[in-house]
Amino acid sequence: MHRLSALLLLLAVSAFAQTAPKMPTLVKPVEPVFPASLADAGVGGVVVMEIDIGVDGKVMEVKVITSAGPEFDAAAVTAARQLEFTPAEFDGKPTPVRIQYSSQFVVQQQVVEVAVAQDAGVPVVNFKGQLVTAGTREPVAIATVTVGTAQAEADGEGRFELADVPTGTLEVKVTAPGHEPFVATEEIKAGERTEVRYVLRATGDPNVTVVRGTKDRREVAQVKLTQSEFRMVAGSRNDAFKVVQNLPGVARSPFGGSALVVRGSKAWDSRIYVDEIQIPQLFHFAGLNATFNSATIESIAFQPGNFGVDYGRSIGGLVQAEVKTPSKKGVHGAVDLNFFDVSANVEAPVSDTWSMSAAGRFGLAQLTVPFAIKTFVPPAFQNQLGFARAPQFWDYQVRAERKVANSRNRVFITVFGSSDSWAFLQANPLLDSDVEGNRGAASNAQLYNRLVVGIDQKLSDRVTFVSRNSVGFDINEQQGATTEVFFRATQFPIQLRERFRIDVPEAKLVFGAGLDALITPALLDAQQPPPFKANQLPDPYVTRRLIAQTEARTYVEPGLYVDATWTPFESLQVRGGLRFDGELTTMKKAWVNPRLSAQWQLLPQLAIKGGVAMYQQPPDYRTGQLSPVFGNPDLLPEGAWHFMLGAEAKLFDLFELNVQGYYKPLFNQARQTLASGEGSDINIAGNETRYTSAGYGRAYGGEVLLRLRPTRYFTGWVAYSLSRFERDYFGGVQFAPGPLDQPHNLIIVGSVKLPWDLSLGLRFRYASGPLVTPVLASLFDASGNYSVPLPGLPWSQRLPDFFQLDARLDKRFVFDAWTFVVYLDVQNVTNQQNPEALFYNHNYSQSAYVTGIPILPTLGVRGEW
Amino acid sequence: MRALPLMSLVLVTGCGVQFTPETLVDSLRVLSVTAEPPEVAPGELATMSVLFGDPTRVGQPTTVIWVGCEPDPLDLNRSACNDASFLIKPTLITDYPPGLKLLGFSRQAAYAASPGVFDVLPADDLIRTNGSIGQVIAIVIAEAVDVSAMGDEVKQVFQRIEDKVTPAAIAITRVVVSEKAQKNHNPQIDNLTFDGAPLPLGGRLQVKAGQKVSLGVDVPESSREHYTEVQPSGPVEKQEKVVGAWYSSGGRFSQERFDVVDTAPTIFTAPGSAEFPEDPVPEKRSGQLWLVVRDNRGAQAFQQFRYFVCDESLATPRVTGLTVSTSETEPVVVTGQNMDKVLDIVIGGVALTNGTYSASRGAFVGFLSGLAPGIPYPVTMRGQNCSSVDTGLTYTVP
Repeated sequence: MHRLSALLLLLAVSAFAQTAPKMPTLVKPVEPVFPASLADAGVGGVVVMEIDIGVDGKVMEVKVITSAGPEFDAAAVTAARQLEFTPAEFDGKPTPVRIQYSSQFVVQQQVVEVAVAQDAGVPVVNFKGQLVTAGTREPVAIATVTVGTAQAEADGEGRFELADVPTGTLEVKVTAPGHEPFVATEEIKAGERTEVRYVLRATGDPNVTVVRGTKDRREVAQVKLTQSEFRMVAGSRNDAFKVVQNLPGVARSPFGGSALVVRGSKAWDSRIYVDEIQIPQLFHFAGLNATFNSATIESIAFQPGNFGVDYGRSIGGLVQAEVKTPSKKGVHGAVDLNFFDVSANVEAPVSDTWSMSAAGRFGLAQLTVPFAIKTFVPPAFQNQLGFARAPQFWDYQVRAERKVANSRNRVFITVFGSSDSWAFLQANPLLDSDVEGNRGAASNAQLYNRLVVGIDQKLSDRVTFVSRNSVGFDINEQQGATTEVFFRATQFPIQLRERFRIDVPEAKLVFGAGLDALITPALLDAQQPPPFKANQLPDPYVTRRLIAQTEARTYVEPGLYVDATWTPFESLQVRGGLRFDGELTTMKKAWVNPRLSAQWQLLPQLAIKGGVAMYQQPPDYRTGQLSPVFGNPDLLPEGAWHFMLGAEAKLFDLFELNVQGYYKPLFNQARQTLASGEGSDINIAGNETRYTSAGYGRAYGGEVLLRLRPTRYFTGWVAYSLSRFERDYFGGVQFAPGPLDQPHNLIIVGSVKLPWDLSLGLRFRYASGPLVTPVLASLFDASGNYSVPLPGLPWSQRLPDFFQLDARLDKRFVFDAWTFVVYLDVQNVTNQQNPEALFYNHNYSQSAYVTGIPILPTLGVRGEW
Repeated sequence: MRALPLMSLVLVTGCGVQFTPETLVDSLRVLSVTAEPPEVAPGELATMSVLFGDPTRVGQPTTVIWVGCEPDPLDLNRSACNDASFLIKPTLITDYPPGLKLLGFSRQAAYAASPGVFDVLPADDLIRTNGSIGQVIAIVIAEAVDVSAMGDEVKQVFQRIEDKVTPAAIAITRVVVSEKAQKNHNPQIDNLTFDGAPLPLGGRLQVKAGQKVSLGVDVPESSREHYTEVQPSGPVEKQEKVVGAWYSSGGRFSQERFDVVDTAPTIFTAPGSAEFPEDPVPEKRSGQLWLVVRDNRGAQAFQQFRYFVCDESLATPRVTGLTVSTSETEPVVVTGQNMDKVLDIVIGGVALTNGTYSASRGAFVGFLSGLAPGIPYPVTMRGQNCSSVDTGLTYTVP
């Protein structure tokens, strides 16, 4: 006989949905027919399939991923095509989804009469137990336990019971999808109940939930990644945010460093959000790791442009990370130790509704970097490094969340923060040592902390309310070559995000409206020489004329938006909105940005999309551009238009292809004033300021993402960006590539799971070489005793192209209660000498390449439980 | 090597790149531009001097073109002399933008800011006492320029510089223009020692090939002046830092900069060492040493002298007699054996100026000045084989 395990193995949960998704439920089960040709063979099997369910709940596509033989496969597929489900829902809307589904074919044995117990007619449970997954101790909720002819299904806690099992030594077989078959021998004694606990090995990474969902169609230029993808990318050190650097639209960061360069724009143009709360610093020192531990990240989404009106104050790209709900199934965690840092995370349920997680990272660079320099750098060069104290960093994340099972509503509180500091403390007798405490130190310290309260509440069938509010405490300190030159900023940013979503299905409309305000009380204590204007030779007497600014100022940036998403028919979605922004206390200006986008599913395998939108942001007030002393408070908001057209296609059910082109004119860009000469701004009446809003530029290009649909065993993509970025120079007299212009950027990422619990990841990168400003000549500054370069057109010399291959090998040792992982992450496997910059001799008559990292193996260990 | 950003330093690889040391002068190069005094009142003259070296063009004509700019009364550093886009095209100098003046074509020049430079400022404006900066450009070119050159002739000179037809070295220095009473002064170099011993005035440093010599520089405490700097928080009393830098046409130094007070002495490794195989003994075995000291307010002073890499295989000369010159323009003639192997003749601690072997006379010939008459001074012979011999002779200036 046959038997159907109509079970959803891996819930097709979209980690991308704005609100909790609704899973499909089987409403029309269809049992497969046991193949007649095998009926007498006494064999059975399990067929595991992937089933694509349409918005109507009907099965669109069935694919066998674990075969039990052609006959069983055919029977299972035939039955599966007739199944019907309730549609999956994302953000309250039916949406196509893929699930895993298994059909089990079991040979029904002859009924054997056995001696019954004294209480004949009442089954007696004499064999029971629990099934858990090795390494994580997660219950195996979907499993069949067979003892002789008796069978039992595990419940949601992995428990099973068998009654009236014959006495004697019996073989126990356990089959569970996603786990290796398990066999044990048990002795069943008369009058006794045997209780067991079986630990099953998962066939995949037990900590990785392979989740897939349809993309949130409201964003036309968005790419999302889940843990299953970003944990397998070589060279990314398991860091979700670093994986973003491998997506189209992101240029390779100089030195592989910490800047997020989106379509050639400066870092200030792009924003990073965690749970919709903006974080001021994406990466720790040198871009080693993100300041937010990826172990707690559920998914990450990247939009290089054309994002909706719910985000603003940015003219570049957007990175959004969603923190996962802490585990409600026992205590889990991990500890990771490698050359650069040690990190740990733990999560656990606190009650039926509350669960908590905590994570942290502590940099070891202050120990390992000096050691590496002392060991590997030639002595003559060590002297120039001047490390008396190396950089150090740490971060932390603590979260408590209340969420009732099967409910979309939740409340959470998150506290997180990050610190980075470094300094050269080697005494420099040539600097002004007469100031007490000055040892010629140049230092930098950055700290941020956030307390976030989040609420997701479905107010009615039509109205959903999402709230994210935070307060923060940030410190940014920079000290120049002497203690008399410093910049110290302390900020207490308050971010208020309240948004409503109103569904009007009869009109096929979804309305959104929200408040997105950022209020930043700031204390500034700065003392510096007057900023040099473009073209000015620096004055070597840095302390001769210092100017200071000590003030308390609050930047008030209210943001309000309304938008509507109209789906006139299933294949077309149009989204439009208006966003109102401003800075009311310093700039005293407000602005309105219209945004429109659309996506049209021409064919089941092909959609086209497009958008036009306007974006504006305050100039970078963190660097003093709005300072009445160091900058210009009258600057206009920097602006950009985003024009985008693209297409998305599914190829052979294996690949997703995303192609888009964009054009982005920039206007009102803050531009450093010229002191003199052609293009000088200095003659502008009353203009002794350091910036004007006369800058302009443009970015244009195309992006291609060919992505293999992730499976348990393989994930990967090919990303190519054609990107140009141009800015005005010399007061607008000349127009040329911007400093981060990178025409070509190709990234191929692939990860594969191998036998013996090995996994291998490779990443290949090719990018156009970085730009430098050529030095045409030099001038000897006899006052300061150094040569000053006389530059040509800024950023007009391109260095050779960049190539790099990275590899990562993970080996897992799975024990009953925990998993031990050893990994080797090798960056620049071929030891390619990639030029990153030029460095010069004393008078700029000789130059050589500063090359990037050499081959850099990092060995690490991680324990997970 | 220029300072690099942190990451550059951390990530740089292939550290085998060897640049020419900053201390090595192997082409036309400016080492110092001094103003005497270094800080002036509006309208007050400062005498500008330039120290440069060019071992490739010994004895060939060199011209220094001086350009000065009026200080920015608002102390915002606005001037053509301080504009990189202007300096990259020297021909623009002949456009004479506002505030720029051509100061002359000789080794020295005079600079003065306009007497009314601060007239736009209120009488109590701090800029008057803190001062503003007058930039002076020294352009040293490898050709002779007539001091009376004008118009197109001057423009053609700058065109040849801009086209790099004529080698040139351009340097900027700054003259502080202020109304303060206590102005800055140039530092002094009192005494130089080599392995603890002073060098005869005008004499050459004798070194063996690859020899390491400890260089001592004595700058008087008075050169480290106390001064008041007005900062946003108020006046700050400070004492100057005086930093020295050595240069040479050959050999290597242990450090490129040194604090004249705090740091260990600089070690000079003479050419011909095994440590620096790229630094052989020069063909004529002689070279130039320069020392520049600067305070942290821009005042400077310098000295220069020659060194000689001895040939120890040479015979030691023997001085047997010398003629007494009757005036400073009449040479002193020193006779003896192997006189072509003499490096210096030192009389009373002063080496004969322009001392050289005269084949026609078969004697060592040089000029003597600065010694008081009537005193019998000892005569010392310093040979090209690093010998130093008291000749037993004395010399009395008539």
